[in-house]
Amino acid sequence: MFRRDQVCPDPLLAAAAAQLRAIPKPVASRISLVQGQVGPNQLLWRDGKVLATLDWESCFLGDPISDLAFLTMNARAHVDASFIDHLFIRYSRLTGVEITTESLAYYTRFQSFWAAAVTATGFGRFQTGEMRKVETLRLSTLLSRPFVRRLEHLVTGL
Amino acid sequence: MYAREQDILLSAQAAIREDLLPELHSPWALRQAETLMWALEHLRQRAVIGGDLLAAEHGELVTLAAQLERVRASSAIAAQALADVATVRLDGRSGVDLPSRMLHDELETFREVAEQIATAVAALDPAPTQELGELRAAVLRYIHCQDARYERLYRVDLPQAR
Repeated sequence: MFRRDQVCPDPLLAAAAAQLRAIPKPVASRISLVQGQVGPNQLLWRDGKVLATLDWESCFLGDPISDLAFLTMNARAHVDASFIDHLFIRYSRLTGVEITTESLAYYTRFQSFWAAAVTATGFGRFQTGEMRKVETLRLSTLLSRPFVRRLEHLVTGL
Repeated sequence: MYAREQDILLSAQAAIREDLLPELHSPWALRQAETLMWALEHLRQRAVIGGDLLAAEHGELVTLAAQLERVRASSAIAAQALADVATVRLDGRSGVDLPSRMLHDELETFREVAEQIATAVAALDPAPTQELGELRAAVLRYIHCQDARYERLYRVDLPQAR
């Protein structure tokens, strides 16, 4: 998909895709409806309770660890490690799903690649003329930078 | 006398800040004006540092392309692993010597080859030969350095819109 929407050479995405293909994919303990971009900004709250979840355009049937990986990627900047550990313990207790280091590492890499590739498609929309405004470029740039930086670190280890 | 790039960009920023913004009232219009200020500031900073970044990238890609051919010739295993990577003709010119349009065209070609190298070797860990391992390390290092260059370009210090 990322090659279809690609507008210029991207060695980072190519390297990330090659590495993902080479890594054995974890076997999911269950198949669930996965939201695809879980984070605090996808939730509506009131009085400490979640009222609704938003932005389901990225949902798919797959391994729920994928959602946990995306959530922790975005949450780590705002909470400490003990919060994440508590989240995993509580999640496993409620769902019976075991969260392994291997599955979390795989889906962290997968979600980083997905986020970087999807936000980069904004550039493609600009090139095709679908969305020619400066706002498209700015949002594509600003939205993609955190995901691209994380992906670069995962791919290069540098 | 003629207006330099910096002059045009600074004057456009001043026009938005001093003439346009005071006349805007809707949040959407103010948002678009801020976006235009970002675009102009990005161009202004790119005009200052962009040439050095392109030259640095070009130098790294020339080195990578030369290493590619040495690795390709090193063994049958390497040649097979790199079979889908195009051959790049090198003529020893440095990036700073090329006219701007030729530099951009050549960079585009080299980036395509870097992408092909990345596809071929990024997952070879461990690599089947030492030379392939070194090429893998080199393309990953290029990816790391190029991302740092992008970070410099896109970390724009936005001048106060108001």
